[in-house]
Order: sequence, then C-alpha cells, then structure tokens
Amino acid sequence: MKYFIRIGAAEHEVDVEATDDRLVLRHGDDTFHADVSEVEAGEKYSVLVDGRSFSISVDGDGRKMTLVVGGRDHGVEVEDERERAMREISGGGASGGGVVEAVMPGIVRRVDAAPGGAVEAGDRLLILEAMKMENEICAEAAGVVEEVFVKEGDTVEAGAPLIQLAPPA
Amino acid sequence: MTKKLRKVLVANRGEIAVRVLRACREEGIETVAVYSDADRNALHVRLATEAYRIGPPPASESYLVGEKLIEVARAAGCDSVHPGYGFLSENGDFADACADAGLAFIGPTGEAMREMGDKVRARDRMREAGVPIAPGSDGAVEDPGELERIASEIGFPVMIKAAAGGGGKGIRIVHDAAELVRAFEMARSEAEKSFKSGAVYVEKFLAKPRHVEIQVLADHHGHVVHLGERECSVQRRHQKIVEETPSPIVDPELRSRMGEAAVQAAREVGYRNAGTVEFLVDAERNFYFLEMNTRLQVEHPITEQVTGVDIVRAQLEIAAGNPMTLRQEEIQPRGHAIEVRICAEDPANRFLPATGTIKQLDLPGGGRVRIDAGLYEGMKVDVHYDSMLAKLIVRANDRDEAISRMQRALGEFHVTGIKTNIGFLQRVLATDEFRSGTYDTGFIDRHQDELLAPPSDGAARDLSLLAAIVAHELRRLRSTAAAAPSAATGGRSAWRTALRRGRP
Repeated sequence: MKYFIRIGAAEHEVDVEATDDRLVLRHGDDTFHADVSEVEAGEKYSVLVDGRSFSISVDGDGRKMTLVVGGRDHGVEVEDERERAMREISGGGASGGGVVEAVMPGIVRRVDAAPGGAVEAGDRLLILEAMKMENEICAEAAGVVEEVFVKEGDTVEAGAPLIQLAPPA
Repeated sequence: MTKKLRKVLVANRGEIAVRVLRACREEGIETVAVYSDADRNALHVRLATEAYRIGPPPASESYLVGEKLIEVARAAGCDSVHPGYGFLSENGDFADACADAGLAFIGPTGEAMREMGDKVRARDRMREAGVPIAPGSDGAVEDPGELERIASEIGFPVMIKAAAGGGGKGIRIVHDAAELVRAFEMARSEAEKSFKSGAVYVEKFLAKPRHVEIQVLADHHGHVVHLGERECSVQRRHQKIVEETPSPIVDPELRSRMGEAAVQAAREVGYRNAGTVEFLVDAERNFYFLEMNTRLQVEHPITEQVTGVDIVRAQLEIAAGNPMTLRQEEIQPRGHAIEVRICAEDPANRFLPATGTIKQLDLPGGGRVRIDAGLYEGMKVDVHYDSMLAKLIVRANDRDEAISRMQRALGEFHVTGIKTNIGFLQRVLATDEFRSGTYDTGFIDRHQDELLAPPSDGAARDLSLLAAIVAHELRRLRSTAAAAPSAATGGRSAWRTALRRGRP
C-alpha cells in the first residue's frame, strides 16, 4: 500500500509492504525494513527501522495525526492510495473564502470592525484575549466587512467564525 | 526555641501549588488546597491534606478572590497562607488582609510589595538606595506628548511598562516615534485590565541586554542573604523559557557586586522572606535594576539545585519567625543547573496557546533530573490559566554536561493530546549561540527562522517512514475492529477492543 505523507509543505511517498514478521518500506530509491511493536494499543509504538530504535507516541486516527518522537511533536497528514483515488473522483471541497476565524480559543475583548465598513490589509478587526495576552486580529487583505458574528465579551472556540469579509467594492 | 507553622493554606494551583505542598509535607505541616471547578481533579487537590472549592474556573471568580481564600483558611484552622506566584502573590492588600485575619503570610509585608510593585516608586527607592537604574521617566507618564518628549530625550527604542506590571506582562517595546501613540494606548488599556491601574512609565530599551536576577532571602530579624544569580535571557515576548545558573557572563566578582546590590534593594524596603531582584546587564557588564519580584519565582529550582538550599522550606522557616542560620559566606554554588519551561503552545502557529486533554504522558528519568509539574494523564488544559505545563530542571558538574543532560531529558518527555514547545526548546539548546553562552534577550527573535525551520531532509524522511508505519498499523487495526462481531466485545467498542488485542 502506498502512503502519501504531508509534513509541513512537503509530501513524501512511502510504499509499505507487510511480510510475515516485518514491514518493507520504500521511500524514493531507498528500501528499509521495520519491526513494529505495539506498546500501548493505538497510542504507543516501538519501531526498529533497520535496527534504529524509535519510540513513538501517537494521537490521531491514522489520517491527521500528531506523532511525538524524541520529545518533539510533529503534525502529519496521511492519505493512502485508495483514499486519494476516492477523493480525486469526488473532487476537492471549496475553501470557505473570506471568513476570518478564531485561530485559538479566547475571549473577544474589542470589536473594531462594523458591517459595511471598508478595511485595508493590516487594519485591526478585533482583539482576542487568550491566557491574559491580547492578540490583534487584523485583515490580511483589503475588503468590506459583510458580517460580524461576535460581540465584546464573547467566548469563542478555535475555528469559530468571527467576521465575514467581502472583496473591496 | 524553634517555631513552626502548623497548617498552611496554599492559595494557588498547578505546579507551584504542588511544589509548596511537597515542602510542607516534608516539614510535617498540614496543608489546605483550594480549587476552582476546572481543577477538581488537579494534583494539588489530591496531594493536600484537605481541599476546598472556591468557585468557577475563571481566576477572577476563584483564585483571585482574596476574601474566599481567607475564609477557607480560617474555617480550616490554618495559621498561614502561601501565595505561590502569580494570582494574589504580589497583591499587598491580600498580604495585609491575611495578617489582619491572624494568618502568617508566607512572603513580604503588604507595604514592601506595594513599594516594589509600583515600578515607578521602586525606581525612586532604588535610586535613593544607590542601586543602579536604567535611564527613563521620573514617574508615571500621563499623556502621549510627555511620552514623546522623554522618548526623544533618552532615544529609541524605548519600553513602555505598566507601573503595576511585572513578570514580563504589560511591556511594549517601541522602535520609533510613529508607533509611540498606539503602543501607549494599548499598554494603558492592557495595564488597566490586567492590573487595575492604567499607569505606565517609560524606560530606555538597552541594546542586547541580558536578564540576570538575584535570589534573596530575608528573615524577620534583619538578616538578608543572596543565593547568587539566575540567567534568564532566553525569552520570547518577555516570557522566560530557559533559565540557568551560574550565568555564563557572571564571575565571582560581578556576582558579589550584584548580590550586594540585591541585598541593599531588599533592605531598602524592609523586605522579608524570599524575593528576586531582577537586573539588566549590558555588553560592558554594567547592571541596572529592573524590578523586584516579591514572591517565589518560577525558576527558583535551579538555585536550589546549585546551592542546596530548599527555598520553599526556607520560606516556611522565615514565616514562622525563626532567625535564618544561613550565612552569606556558606553559600557557594556548585555545578550548573538549567530549567526549561514546557508550555502548551504551538510554535508552528505563532506560539498560540494550545488547549486539549493530555492523553499520554511519559516523563524523563535518570539522575539529576527534576520535574516540577502538576501534570497527569486526562488533565484538561484550557484557556483559563497559564500555558506552562511543567518545569524540567537538570543539574550537572558543568554547563556542557547540563546542556547534554537537558537535551537527553527533553527527548524522553512525551506528551500527546496537546501541542507543546518541547521541540522548540531542543532547537534552542542546540544553537551555537546558546551553547557558547553568548546569547542575550534578543536571541529568540534573531533565530526565529532557524528555530522554526522544517525538519532536515534526513529527519523528514525518517518521520515520513514512521508516519507511514503508524498509519499502516492504525488502518490494519481499524479493519480488524470493523470485522470483529460486536457481540464478542462484552460491552466495549469494537474499535477499542481491537486496539487492546493488538496484533492478531
């Protein structure tokens, strides 16, 4: 089975073939042999790649995952060849467009944007406070405020829509 | 006659509450923990002799409500209160209220706190005491015009600081006149909200300074000693993330001069108990008073590791009214200690605070490794409190050995369920600038790109192999789970059971 692994902006292709007692991996022109042992089901694995020992802690479902290796956490996205084929048939989803979302959970401390108002790139739209730090949320590009979904004092979760922007009139 | 505290209310949460509770238990002192609804399962609740609820999760309705804390202390029959750091630890009125309620406050007097807590007033007192201070405004700055005048006099960049601030909070650096007014307004509004006082002052921003602080201990009988310095120049947005002692730039002669200045500062305000005098040190090794933290400091463990003094136990002794037996000449730092602050944050996403539930936790072990934390599996990390999860502290014979040990320990520190800065800390410790000890407070900003760079080709390839292996395993387990008849699972989900069973 071929796996496509996204790490940041880079994509890696790894072919995994299971034999009786180990996995054979192909990455580019290189071949590796791995012994995989489950330490805690679905959560912790000891992996020996040609003898090199890695202790991996896992959080995720095998598609979007965080792997902790050597203390450091890495966000990775994995798609196997079947999943990729399915996605290509059904077509990718359209992006949300001009909705400014909360990048972290927090409390809305101030709202500068008002419906109908024109904004320039860098203009402050609102102030979101998280863990006692005030963070200015600014417009990334020029536009017109279409809708404001929050008011001062609101508590928002990460990903909550804050403001709908339209292209400049 | 040695006096002893009998029962301490620990007016805090998280790792520092645990730290204080441990010291009390070792001294045979009973402990009372307090908790908000978010902390019912917290370690400090479970490790205390008694614990009482004080309110809902927001600190303003729980850990910051002095009257409730005092009420609990009295009802539980406490004779003393330890404030930890943050929350009410530097609130002079709270210290006074404790004293009025007949509770020994384990810290300085309210008056000493107010003198040092008002940064403008503190500058004046230090000037009088002959402690060096940085150029800046004589008092609080009232309007933008006055600010512009002073700023052009002392020269940019300048720092606008909240008079009631501290610990890196309420500081804005302004590089030129164009940013000045907006920064002034932001600083005032932030100060008003965080510290209930919009007063700000301005100080020259020193080029490439180092942040070096001195730990002091003062008893109730006029005896003051210092425990040497802590180097805290590795900072991000004015928050310390790595601390070490000794400082690579402090020799015994400078240590002794800074130590004496710190002792002088403490004496000037009639300070007692543990406190920290922070200094900025410039390239010529001139030092200037920055502020005094009138409480136990986050990074106090590194001092304990090299001096052998248990600072919290010393605090308890002092608060009981006992004279300190420690003499200045007996205090000789041995070896080297480093602390890193492990925080719930996402370095790849502008260090935004991360929230979530800790799923797995593997802590490092081995000799000379200390972990001060309130962590446990299943712990929820949310927006209500500070993002610091744990302090990892190592001790070694010398600096190089301490750095290697810290890298080793960080590599063993595995947390899932929440993003942490562990990888970032590893990179900080690996830079030439950190290893050579030549860094200053601008270090993190200057190296931002290098510290946040994607993994090297080799590391990325290894990671992709591991990701493919894990993805393969999880898909295999999922298909096993789907195939398993649910009747055979005895109430558990098929997925979970298949995972537990492992490889067929």
